[in-house]
Amino acid sequence: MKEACEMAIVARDLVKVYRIAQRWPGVLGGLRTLFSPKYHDVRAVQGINFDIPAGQFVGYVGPNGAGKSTTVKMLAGILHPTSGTITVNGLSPQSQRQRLAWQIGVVFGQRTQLWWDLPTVDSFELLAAMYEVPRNDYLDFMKTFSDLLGINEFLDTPVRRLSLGQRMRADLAAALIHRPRVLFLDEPTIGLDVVAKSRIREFLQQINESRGVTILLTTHDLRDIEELCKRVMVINHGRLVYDGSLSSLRDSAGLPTVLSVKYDSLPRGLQEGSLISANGDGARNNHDTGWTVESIDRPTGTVRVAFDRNRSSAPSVIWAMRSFGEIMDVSLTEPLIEEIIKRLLKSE
Amino acid sequence: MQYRFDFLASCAIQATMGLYDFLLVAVILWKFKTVAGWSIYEVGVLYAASRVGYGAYRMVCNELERFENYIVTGEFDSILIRPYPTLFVLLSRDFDFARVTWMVQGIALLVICAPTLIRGGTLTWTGLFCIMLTCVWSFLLHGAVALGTAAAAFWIVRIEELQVFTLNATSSATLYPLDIYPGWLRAVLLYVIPIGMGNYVPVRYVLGKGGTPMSLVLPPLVAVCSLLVAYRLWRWGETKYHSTGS
Repeated sequence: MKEACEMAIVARDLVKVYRIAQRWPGVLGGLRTLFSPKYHDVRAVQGINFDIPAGQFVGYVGPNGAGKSTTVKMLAGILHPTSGTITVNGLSPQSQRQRLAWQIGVVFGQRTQLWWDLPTVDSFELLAAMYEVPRNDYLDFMKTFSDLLGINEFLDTPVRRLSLGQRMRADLAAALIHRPRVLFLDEPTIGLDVVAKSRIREFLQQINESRGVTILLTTHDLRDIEELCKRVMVINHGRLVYDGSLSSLRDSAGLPTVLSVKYDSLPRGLQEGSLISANGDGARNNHDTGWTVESIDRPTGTVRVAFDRNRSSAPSVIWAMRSFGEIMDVSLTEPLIEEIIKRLLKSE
Repeated sequence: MQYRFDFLASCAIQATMGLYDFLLVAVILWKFKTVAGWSIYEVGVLYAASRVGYGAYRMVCNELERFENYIVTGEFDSILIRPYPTLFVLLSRDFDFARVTWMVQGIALLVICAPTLIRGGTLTWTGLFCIMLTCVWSFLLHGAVALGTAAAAFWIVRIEELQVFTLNATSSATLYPLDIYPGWLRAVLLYVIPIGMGNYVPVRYVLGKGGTPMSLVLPPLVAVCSLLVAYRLWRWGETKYHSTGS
């Protein structure tokens, strides 16, 4: 019982199998499907365990189709697990769904929870009524969230006419109107521009710190994780492949930013997989920089170098790359979660 | 209700549709004078009970009619995160006020037909009261059938055709006295998809065309039981909900 009080979220041996009906091919396939259905099972989540203490900010990452959303939907009481148990704030999201709903907030980046045709403020009013928020608390909410998220800028605009960034701010505010203890965020920064993203991040940090709200955030954007989450869980093919701090994830997998350098002619003395040192001599002894040649595209003379942003700056890498030839153009690619997982699996 | 013209236009469309349905019945009666021993006024009463019930159902439960969308798009997610029963949250999302025209039509028909029948001695005032109650049973029965059909979407997703079969077709069929149908079809409309319980059984008894006092007790009983079964199915379906990928 003590554990249940301290832990905001507990998942044990969580499994979700989707049974998908397959259509028989051919003209009479539809008929055949009706009478002798053929199924195949998709194991979206296969035995996940974790505990999240109250007040923690956890990042939940993985490639598309890894089972992120499925997990979050099970935690929020939307889906029923095939097997395993979940406790959120000491309640079962399945058998005590309604009771738990008072205590959690949910935001899906892809879909709004607001009333599409109504002015934004009407959605807040409706939700306040739905969650029986006292009038004073509601006014307090409007004031606080106008300060934090600027929702006062578009209160009279119908939700369908909000920009994506505004809509996300409105959705976040709406999910917090009843002061939930736990917040589930499924891709809240998806599709947003840099400014909107950083505004949302700032806000989430504040909510987590000032109110002690437990937050589980799924994302594709590693920046979200870097700036917000002390703990990261990585899911791949329905299994947790990593659960720990961001710094040790970086130690085991690195967060490789890729610098593409285009030379006027084929650079000398570079090979795929070779390490580069700070003075640019392709040194064998400089493991500490960790700059690796990922690939060399010979026809265009483009070299891709992976490095860790937190250890080296992009200019220092460019500086070192100068010694291999005349640089025509450079570009930076931020690390993708797919890349991290590939490295993580490789390092194990 | 923010678009007044839109509301008036849909009222007009609903009224025309309802009128069209009745004209069809009326033309047949006008030609043949009686259908299976039912006069035009008697069929009018039968028709009224069903229309008021169906209209009330469509007004309150409009979201059940388009429930397929909730499953296909995964919109049902946002209903499940609210701290109330899903059916309640679903139905509270929208009312189709234009359907009030169906109810008005039904009531108007009753106002036209009932006095003639009372004067002719076929209908008593108590009987008229029973018919008004029958509208409520009809409402509940339509709701139960619709709820059961909607619940099927948790398993089979696409239910639009099924809805036509279970509700639209049966509701239209019971606008006529069930005596005109073969026995098996009558049985289906009374015991399998019991829409016929909501008008035919009690109206037939009230108009002295057969049945026992049980004909007045059975409809509410069947209505409540159907609702319970349908709601059970709905709750079970909730646990089978798949949502959609993002």
